[in-house]
Amino acid sequence: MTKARLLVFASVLAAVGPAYAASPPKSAGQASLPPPYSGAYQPIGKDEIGLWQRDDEDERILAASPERFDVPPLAAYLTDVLCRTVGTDRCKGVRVYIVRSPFFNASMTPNGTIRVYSGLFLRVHNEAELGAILGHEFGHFEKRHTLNAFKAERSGRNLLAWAAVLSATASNFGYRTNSFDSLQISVHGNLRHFSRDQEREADYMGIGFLNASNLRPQSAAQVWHTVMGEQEHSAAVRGLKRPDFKGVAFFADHPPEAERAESLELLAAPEGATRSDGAADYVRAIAPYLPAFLNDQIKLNDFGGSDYLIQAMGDTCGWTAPLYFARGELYRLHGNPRDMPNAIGFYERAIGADSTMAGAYRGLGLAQLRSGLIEPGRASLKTYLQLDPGAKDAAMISTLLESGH
Amino acid sequence: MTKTGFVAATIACILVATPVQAHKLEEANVAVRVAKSKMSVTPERAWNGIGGRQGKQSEVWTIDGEQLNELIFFADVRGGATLAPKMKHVTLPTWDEKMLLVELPELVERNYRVTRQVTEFTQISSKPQTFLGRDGIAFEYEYVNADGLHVRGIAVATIIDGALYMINLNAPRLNYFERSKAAFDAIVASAKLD
Amino acid sequence: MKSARLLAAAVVLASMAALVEAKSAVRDGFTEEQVHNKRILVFRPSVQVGSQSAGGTVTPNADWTAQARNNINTSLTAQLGDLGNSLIEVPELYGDNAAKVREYQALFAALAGSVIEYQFEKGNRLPTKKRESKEGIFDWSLGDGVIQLPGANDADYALFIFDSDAYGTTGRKILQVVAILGAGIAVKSGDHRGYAGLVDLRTGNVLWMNADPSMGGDVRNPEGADKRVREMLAGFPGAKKK
Repeated sequence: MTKARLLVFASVLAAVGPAYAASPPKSAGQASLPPPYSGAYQPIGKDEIGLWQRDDEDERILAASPERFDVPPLAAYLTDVLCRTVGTDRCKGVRVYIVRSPFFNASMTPNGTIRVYSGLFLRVHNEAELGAILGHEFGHFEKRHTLNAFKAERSGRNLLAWAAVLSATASNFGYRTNSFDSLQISVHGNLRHFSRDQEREADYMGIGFLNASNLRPQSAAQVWHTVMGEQEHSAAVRGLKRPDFKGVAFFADHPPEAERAESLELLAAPEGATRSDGAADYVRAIAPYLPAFLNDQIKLNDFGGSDYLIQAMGDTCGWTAPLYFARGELYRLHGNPRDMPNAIGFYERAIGADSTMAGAYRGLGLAQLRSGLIEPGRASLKTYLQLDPGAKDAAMISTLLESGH
Repeated sequence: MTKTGFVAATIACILVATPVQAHKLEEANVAVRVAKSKMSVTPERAWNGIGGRQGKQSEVWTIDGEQLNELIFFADVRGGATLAPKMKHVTLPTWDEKMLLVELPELVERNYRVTRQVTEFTQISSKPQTFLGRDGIAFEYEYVNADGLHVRGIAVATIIDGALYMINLNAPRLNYFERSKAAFDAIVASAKLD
Repeated sequence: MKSARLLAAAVVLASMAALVEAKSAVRDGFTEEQVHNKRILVFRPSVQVGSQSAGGTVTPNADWTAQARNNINTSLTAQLGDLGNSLIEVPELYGDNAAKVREYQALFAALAGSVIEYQFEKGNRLPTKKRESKEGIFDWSLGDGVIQLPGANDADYALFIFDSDAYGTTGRKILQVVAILGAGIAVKSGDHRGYAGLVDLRTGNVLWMNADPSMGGDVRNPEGADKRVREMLAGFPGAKKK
């Protein structure tokens, strides 16, 4: 970077800095337009150059990783939503990767990759919510929070290590035999802990992007309501009193979610309220992949959280056969006798929405058998085999029909 | 404690912590009871028993290390039991006495997804197979483990009076699954209840 | 008092060294003659160099990493070239080829982990491996599917390398001393892990392997990289001794 550009860049930072440095006051009204983009950026300084180079190496590994959900149309759709949120001039250099992982997370590396966990798709319900998350991550990127967080982490962890040594009583010199774990980081991204102020700043930038876009900024707060609801329901089913927000990667060290949702509501531009949130386009875009993402979620064995997510999506985006089917599977796998009648009801609704859905007949038949409804169960399983004669478990189901167990 | 005493205690502590993990040799052609149950097997080749890493009703063997071939015996697993030791922060799926054989692959899948941080898990096939002289199931699957390695798995199982009996092999799909499969088949064929 | 503590530290260090044995092994029948005038495929070595603060955070350093990558490549070419071998560096790969290489690298890492844990570490050997070690058997293989690796048809062997380096900052060096003297936690100053293996591309058999959880040599300069590569190639038939 030339001296002149450095100077321009510094002055942009200086001009923008104070506005974002502190948490935006709630009385500030709507968030304003983000600062002008400072153009193609090259890393400066030992720490930043090092981080970029590590990220370049990480990106090579991620690109060939089995954990990458390598579906170009979905990645292209995410890029499109990002561009519509932050503006086409800003989004140009960004590469979008989807990581197959059923959790709520997204991150952006300093060298310009944005990584979206597949679990995000179950927790946002329209393009505006998706844009809020992508804009938030992009805000970290533009403000180079990673670099600052990295420097902060370095001094923070120093304290931790000293504390660990002082409190240690037993020896521990097990060394990891598998060096490949270093590569794992590459796929999921280095988990970065930002400070609350940095999170507020990124939220502020994210909502600023939305305000300036064609999407409805009021939707941004909804993501936090959904994820809070999921955690509360997950905790309630486990018999825990309080939900564990810290367990969600995206939440660690974030401002309290309620405060956050409230701030985002206040910062949304009122005139944007009548804009479209892009729900119909969103539902259409994710439809081909939704069954796989739902399957990943229900097999996490988090009954309360999963049930909440499926319902939230059904109630917001409209109930479809895959959503009813996923809920039926969730209840059948939960396995209590009282779960079976519910499972049967959901499978029946799935079949009502799509009478050719073989898997729904399978689930229905198994749930019926487990409820003692032998003849209806056999009939359902026969329909399953008729609809999908080449099913992976066809031989097992045939035997079940012959022998009865 | 004096400083010298503290240092001495520290050294003692370190010496005590020296890993003494006796792995047990499972000789070829010798019948042996597994998972503290009445199930016994007779391997055709020598295996190594690895102690202390599984739940109560199970036992782990390996030939080349459990990352390369991991054989797990489950025997007399009763309703409410998990397939792996309980973990903090996650709820493990449990065996349910009313579960149908055809639902077993789903239980194994949920168990590995939760306990091994697996996100990509594919059921390959399931078919009937006699095991311990009873109607049973054989099923195969594949998953990507936390180190990015594609692991292929096979399990053969049956249910006796509501209790689960299962022998399960996990090995990388490159080379090791095929390399270990015959030894697995021999053990499954030799399994019997005393 | 000071000398008593130092003595204690020395005892601790000595007992640690006994547990963690750096080792290499060669497949039965693999001799020096078989590593002459061969074509050896080298997969892009994953080299990362950074400094490690007291808390263990590794700060990646781009200059060091670039220097190390060049130095290690140069040393490898020189040292294996001494034996008349030619090194073929696999270019950067994309798509299915990249995924295939990554899967074999993951398999090699799992295999190396097993070798270190269950064959090199004496107190923890698997009984069947103990028996094989006594008989001089070193039988590990990636399988004959390795011929499908990109470039395998035009080469004889493949060399798998992993190297990760972090140099301790002063803070961590001080912590290390305190840790050993005070509470009994071993905190290594810097983490220098490396392993390497030579695989026969026709059979997939591991012909030679070296795994060392704590290697020496500062890979940031050519002499150090030479030392590291020499250590990495320890036990390699025909390789120069230190």
